[in-house]
Amino acid sequence: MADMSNLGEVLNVDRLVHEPARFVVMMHLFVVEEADFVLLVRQTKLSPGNLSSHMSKLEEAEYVQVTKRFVGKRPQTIFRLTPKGRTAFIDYRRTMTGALDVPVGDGKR
Amino acid sequence: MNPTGISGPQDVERKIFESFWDDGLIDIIVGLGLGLIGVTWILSVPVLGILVPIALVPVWAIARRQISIPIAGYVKFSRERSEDVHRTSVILIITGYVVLVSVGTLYVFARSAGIGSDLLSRLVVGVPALTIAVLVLLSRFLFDMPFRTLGYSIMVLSVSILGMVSGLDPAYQFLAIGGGFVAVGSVLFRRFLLSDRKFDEPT
Repeated sequence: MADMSNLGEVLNVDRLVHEPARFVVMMHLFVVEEADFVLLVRQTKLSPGNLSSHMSKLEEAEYVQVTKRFVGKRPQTIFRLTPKGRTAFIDYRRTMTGALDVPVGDGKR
Repeated sequence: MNPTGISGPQDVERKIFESFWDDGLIDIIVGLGLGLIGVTWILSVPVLGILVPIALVPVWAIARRQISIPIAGYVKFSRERSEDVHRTSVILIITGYVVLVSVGTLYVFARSAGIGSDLLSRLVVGVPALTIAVLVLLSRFLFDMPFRTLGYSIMVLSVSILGMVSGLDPAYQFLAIGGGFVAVGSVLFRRFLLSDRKFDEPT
């Protein structure tokens, strides 16, 4: 049974994680140690420009750590979720799971 | 309705892990390895078969670094996943070794005792390929290897049964199986190369 007091928390949910594209990116970084830009583009199906803009926001919030390096002549940008980002993702997931864990039946009242 | 079929972090991780093998390189390398083992048997130097994985694993690692990562991207999996892969690899190697040694011992014992030697000879011919079929099948369930491994295990099992029925030398069975892996891997590799999307990384 859902805890109704949890619904208040939904209003204060972390908007940075709440945005669908950022949520998907954070979910991908949550399950691996690190991944580069190319992998995230391919896995999330976001456009490079879109992903780049979301990663900047996550970096500003110190949710992801960014490392740039060269492999031969090719630039490689590697992202890793910081402990702060990991905690934010876990908190968001806990709040939303709690709020949505309501038996809905057939949707009729 | 969830069109992706993904319901949580574990599914996302599994999807990333499965797509890690989409380049077809592992299929080509495994196929070449099995084919080369077959060749060492034909040339009556089976002991050289031990060198095949030692030689091919670095080739796979270099090809992956040079060809696949620039297209598919780089990922470092969690420590749990890495440990799981390592543990499972050891289990698969030991299983393969135990099966082959057990069958070999049984065969030698039965032959020396003169028990059904004709039937045994026929069955033993298919055992190496049967072992590969079991290992490939196990890799799907223990490793989360891609779905196509089920197709491979059916293909290898069929070759094994054909070998038992026709008495085809295991060396030629391995050549046929290796050819199958290389053919499928080549198709996947071509598709993978065609999926390359050029874009600039953020500066």
